[in-house]
Amino acid sequence: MAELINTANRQLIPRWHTSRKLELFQHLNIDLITPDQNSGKLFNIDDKKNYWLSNPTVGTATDLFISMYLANMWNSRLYNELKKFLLSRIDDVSQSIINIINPSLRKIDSSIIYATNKSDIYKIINTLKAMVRVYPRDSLSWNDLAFYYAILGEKIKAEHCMVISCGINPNHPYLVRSLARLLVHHNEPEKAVFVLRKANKVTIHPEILSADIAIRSFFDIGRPDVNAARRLIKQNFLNPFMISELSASIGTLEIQNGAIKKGKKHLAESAISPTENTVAQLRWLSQQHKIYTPMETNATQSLEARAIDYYNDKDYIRCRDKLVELHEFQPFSSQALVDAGYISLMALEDSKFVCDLYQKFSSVKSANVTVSNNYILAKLLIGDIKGAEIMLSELIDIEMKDSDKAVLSATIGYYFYQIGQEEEARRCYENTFMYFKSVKNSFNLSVALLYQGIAEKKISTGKGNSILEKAKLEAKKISWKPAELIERIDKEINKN
Amino acid sequence: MPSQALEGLTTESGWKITQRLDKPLGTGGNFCVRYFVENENGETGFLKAMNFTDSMDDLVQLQKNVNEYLFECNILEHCKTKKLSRIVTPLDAGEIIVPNFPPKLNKVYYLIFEKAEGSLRDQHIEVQNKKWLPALKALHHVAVGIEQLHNIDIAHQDIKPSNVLAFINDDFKVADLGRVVDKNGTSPFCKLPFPGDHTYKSIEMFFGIQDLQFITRRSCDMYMVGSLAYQIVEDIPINASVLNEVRLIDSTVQRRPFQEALPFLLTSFNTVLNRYEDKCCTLFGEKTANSLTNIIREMCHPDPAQRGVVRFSDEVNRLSMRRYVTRLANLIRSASIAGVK
Repeated sequence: MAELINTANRQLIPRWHTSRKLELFQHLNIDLITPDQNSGKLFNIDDKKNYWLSNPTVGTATDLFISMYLANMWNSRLYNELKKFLLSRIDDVSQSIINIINPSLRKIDSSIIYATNKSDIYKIINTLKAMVRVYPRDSLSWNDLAFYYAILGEKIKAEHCMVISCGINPNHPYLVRSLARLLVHHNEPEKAVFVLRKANKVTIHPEILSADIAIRSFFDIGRPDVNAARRLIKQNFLNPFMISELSASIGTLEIQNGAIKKGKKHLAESAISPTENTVAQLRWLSQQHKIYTPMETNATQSLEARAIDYYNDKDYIRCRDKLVELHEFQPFSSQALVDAGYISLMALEDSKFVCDLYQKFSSVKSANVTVSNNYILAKLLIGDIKGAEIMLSELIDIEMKDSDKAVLSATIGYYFYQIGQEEEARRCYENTFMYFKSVKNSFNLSVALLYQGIAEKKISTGKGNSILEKAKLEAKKISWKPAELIERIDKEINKN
Repeated sequence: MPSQALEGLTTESGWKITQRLDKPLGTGGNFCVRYFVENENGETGFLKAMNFTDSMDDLVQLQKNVNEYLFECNILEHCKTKKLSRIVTPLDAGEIIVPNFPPKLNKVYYLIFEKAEGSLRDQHIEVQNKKWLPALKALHHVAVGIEQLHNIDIAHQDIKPSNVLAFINDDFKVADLGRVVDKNGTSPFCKLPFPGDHTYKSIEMFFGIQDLQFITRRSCDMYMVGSLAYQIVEDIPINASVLNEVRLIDSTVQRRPFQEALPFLLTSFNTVLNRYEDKCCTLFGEKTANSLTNIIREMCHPDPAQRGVVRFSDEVNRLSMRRYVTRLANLIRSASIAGVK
């Protein structure tokens, strides 16, 4: 199933990043801080300049350079001259000054996006644990620790760390949004809304309110406070990057309610200084609702938006690659892996890739039943019955949602087809169909019918094709018309 | 201008003005001309002649300069009366008549100070072969000086390396009371949130946090002393390092209110101090490094409510320099035992 690239409903559920990787939020169009009119006087720039000119040493240059740095005079010619001067005497310049001349953030997690290897994650956790032991009031390190526990699927530890983090800075938008995102990940959206509401800034802070509106809208919890959002958006003193997600949230709601003109206006506001999440939302709106919002810049990139683009272009290999990257981008969630697995199995018929993917991201294998389900199906498709049996036995005792049970039941049915127990297999598929019919999920029903049809066709072509025809019928009921599914069904029907 | 024609003259108190300083000694002192002086006993001094001629056209500016000069004279006199041993007080003050200028324009007001060997800036920060024990002593002496000022309800507000003067036998004193603020509110700078060089102001002020209360000014003084301790090792004030680090973590941080920026500032502050402690370990050994880092951690804490000795709930005790004077004295002792030179 496609949870991300072709979802019927997308809201701006906040992204969660560690404090050392905040650049991933991509606040790119932020207007630069310009020096105050009185900066020269307040920072004694003229005196220091004269002193440097009369005595051009590393000491006088440093003094002037630091004052100009703190006065935000980074664009001045003199500042760059001083930089060059100090670099030419680098042996006499202290490391702290070099850090300012050539700034680079030293990261605990040295991976390009995030570490997804179990041993690397444990190393990072140990470093962060040592940090919070020395600085127990460092809320950002607690937040980061929660993030890495969440990647490992350590639900209780992750929540515990995040609660400590928010306890230190109770109303901080970044931390409250992170906790809310974690709670959504743990399937507790009501609790997430409660946490956001408890932060006493919810109606006055655009970033907290946007998370509240997004979660409420997505999970249908109460009424989103649209009036407060409109009020906040109208306030001119807020930076465009701060209201980007809020404008996009309100814009999405307006569009979904049919107020296209109003919605477009909000979306245009959101595109002034968009975050990565906003870009993905705008792309999703163009895919699902044919609402195109011009962007002021191409600088902000979104892996999710790119995956949607490739999916629409039917470039499934690139789409899958982007989805794998997207998993590394939000590694605590396996939604992107589910989609990558689906694209591999459905559009690319590449079962081996799914097996390799599962091995690569083994740290999250227990976190999502659908990922494991895709893996079992891939193993069955390549004929590794033993491997599938082992995986199935691991899943039997796990508590899961009814929808996951229904998906797994279909996979067990396919397993029974593979080992020659057709009656048992049909019973399993029947259970799956009953559930998906009851919840009116044509997409999952169609996918289940497709695989049953493939299995039945090996026994009887006529019966197989009739099931495949049913699958096609169900696929055509789906509002977003998944091309890859319909094409695959057609292909299976036409196979001899 | 009369203030620039004092060479060769002698004051009523017997100080002979020998030489004008062409190059600036450092920064600051916009409205003064500096000279070397000596008296009959062979004592040398440093004369600061007030130059009011430039502001003659602008009465408001003239009044401001005169007020500032008079206030500085009063404060210096007050400090002298109170016998503040770690504050540079004037040896003499008064007026001198300059020949060849018409009456009323021929009066130059001056202050004479004891001549220093240099400042902490040119004796320590700007030299390559650093002597660490005198630098640590300077810190202690500055802490004593600021405590002495705080005890008579004065906040310095412009503590920086060039305002810490070095005298013979590694004796250091806090100089330049030209920007001080007093508790009674008589200072011409009382309405300015920060009258000193903004390079050294406490970090919350970079986020627009301003408070004119005297206790806040003491907090700012404490921050600047801590920053000085950072600067003697790292050559730059702690603000620069913390803001550089925090901008790397979050590029939007300076667009956010202080309370939102605080967790990021705290993380950056911890990172910066970790590096500082590592450097100090190689220079002074683990014990001294740890003590010095802890002193800075308390004095320069980014959260003003956590600054100082937090176990004291009342602000006056929390922001008292007394404990840091003692801790710095102990630190110097342990450093000299550890062989720091």
